[in-house]
Amino acid sequence: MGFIDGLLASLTLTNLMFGLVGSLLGTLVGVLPGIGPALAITLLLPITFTVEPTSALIMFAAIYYGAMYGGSTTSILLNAPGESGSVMTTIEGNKMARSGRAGAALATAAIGSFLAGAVATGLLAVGAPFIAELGLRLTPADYFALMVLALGTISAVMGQSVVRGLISLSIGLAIGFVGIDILTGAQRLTFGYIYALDGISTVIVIVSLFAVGESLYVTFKGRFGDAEVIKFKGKAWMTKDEWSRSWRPWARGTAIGFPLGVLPAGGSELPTFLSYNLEKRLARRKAKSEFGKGAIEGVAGPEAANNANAAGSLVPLLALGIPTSATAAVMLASFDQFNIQAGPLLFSERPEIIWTLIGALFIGNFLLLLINLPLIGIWVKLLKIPPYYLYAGVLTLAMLGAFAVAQNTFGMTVSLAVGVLGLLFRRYGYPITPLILGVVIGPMAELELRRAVQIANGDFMTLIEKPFSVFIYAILILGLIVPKVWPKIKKRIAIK
Amino acid sequence: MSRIGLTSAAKGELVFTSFLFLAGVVVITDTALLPDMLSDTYVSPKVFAFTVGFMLASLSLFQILQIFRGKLGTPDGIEGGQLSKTSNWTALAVAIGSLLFYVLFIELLGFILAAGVLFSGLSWALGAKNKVRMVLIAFAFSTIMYVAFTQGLQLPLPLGFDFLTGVEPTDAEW
Repeated sequence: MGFIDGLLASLTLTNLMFGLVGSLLGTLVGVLPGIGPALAITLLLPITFTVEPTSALIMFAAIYYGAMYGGSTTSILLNAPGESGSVMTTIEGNKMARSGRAGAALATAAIGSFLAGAVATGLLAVGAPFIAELGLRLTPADYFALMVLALGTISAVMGQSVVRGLISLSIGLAIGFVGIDILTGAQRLTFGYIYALDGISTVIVIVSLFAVGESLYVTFKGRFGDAEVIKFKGKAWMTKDEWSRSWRPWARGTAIGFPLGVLPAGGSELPTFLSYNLEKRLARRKAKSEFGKGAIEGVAGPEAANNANAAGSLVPLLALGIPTSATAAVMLASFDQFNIQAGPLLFSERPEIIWTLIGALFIGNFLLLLINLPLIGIWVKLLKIPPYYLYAGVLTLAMLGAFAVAQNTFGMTVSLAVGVLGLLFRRYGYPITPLILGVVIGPMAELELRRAVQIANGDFMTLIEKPFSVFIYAILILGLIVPKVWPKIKKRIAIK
Repeated sequence: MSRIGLTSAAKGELVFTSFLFLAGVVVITDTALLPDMLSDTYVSPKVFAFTVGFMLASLSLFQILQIFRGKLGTPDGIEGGQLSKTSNWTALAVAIGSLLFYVLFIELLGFILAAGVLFSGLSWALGAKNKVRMVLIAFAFSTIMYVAFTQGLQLPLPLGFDFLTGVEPTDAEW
């Protein structure tokens, strides 16, 4: 089974339908505030009980891609990024819209997203099997090192400071080991509650942190004026000049976004930031004078980086079973629901899933272009829904999901408690993503650690025995130092 | 005035960070109290738990010192709105109240009613102006969700009012 077979397999009516539904939902959650791809996929996890694995995974991947498209629409027309990856798009995109060039901004965002998504999915198809091959030769000690790297760098990059990121991570790790330890039967952090023995569901943690935490934070600290949506009529399209100014930023954005998705950089903030600043530096003549007033390069680059990044983060998820962003962590949870083990063996044991998924990503990406270019007007209308109804709807859906998973008052009380924690994290500037990855990766890392030490007959030195693990820890140390000097570099890049 | 605002924010962060520190201490104590398991694994469940506990406790202690040095966390931005300078305690109480109502009464009164109250409560807390329309939308939404999930996705949700028919709810208390 290979890529062509996967493309053909994904062309069944059912799979196409799920791809379309996923693309629509993804665009929707990208456009709407208060709900992002991670939360949307979590809320849809109950469908894993009734739907085929391939169809569900196709839908989830389409949501991931779709949210990256939808986020740009609000950035450009509303000056409000729908997703964290769209923040950089807002700078030039909204200025373009204000000066009557909304159509070009939307077009360069959508076409750039499409091209970057297509190229990056191609790179995923080529690169993932290669990394899976490598993954087969890794020992538990190597895997442990990779997981420590993922957790460490994400904690370092995501927060306002490394310490804040690591605290968030520790809380996640602690939540992760609540319950009975599989190997020894020890009861950790259960405090005698029977319901706590099974542990705290990842789904509950994610839903509560995002939906409950965000809703409470918004009621506590938010203020909603009448949002000013820029009126947009006509077509989202570009002139010849705008095309020629767009394609280089698209290419550069893809080149930045994809590798940073493969590496654990914690999501799309970093690549979009780098892409924007690169375009700003490279700008000449007309573009240079336009930066800050609506330069098309400043939209084209970050938008391409954003989508390439989403595809890139699927590489470690599929090939190694290690998620590097919140959305990827949720997708890993959905693999668990199907009893599918993401990681190197997936490529040899269930190739049909991998290749159908990759095939479907190409088709989904194409559907997204169709959904987003001609139908842009419909999405804009959605922004007229008052924010209080949006947040209320999202919260109600989330609590429905919490009940569906927990089925008891204990689970929902946990949900409320985690929600309050989410509120406090937002209020006092602690990042959410490290916590989620701690809950998801923590138990996996502990298992690999035990395996490694078991194999070495109790010798902990086995963890740093092989050059591969040493290399990984060296990268991690670099990753922890970089954020220290990062603000200085950031300042230097941003000045000009 | 700004000085008062600053100190109250610092106090709040101090309380929260102390809570994080306490959580670390709880993890350490809980791990220390674990009985020693007779097992053939080299890595006991304590190793990982102690590491995490000490990491959490020591880092939050560091963070507490940072607060005294005047380094406070920046609150996150608000999607689709602006960050307000003042805190809206009433709205927060209403929101948490409606969540509690949902959690406590979903099995007794059913999803439609509990979710309708939750939806109305949050929209009200967020400043919905037309109250009648708000309640109508809330209950329309919860009814549609109920039908869509129980009929469409075959996901069981409580209809509630079991006490009227004499059938005891299975899991209403814990």
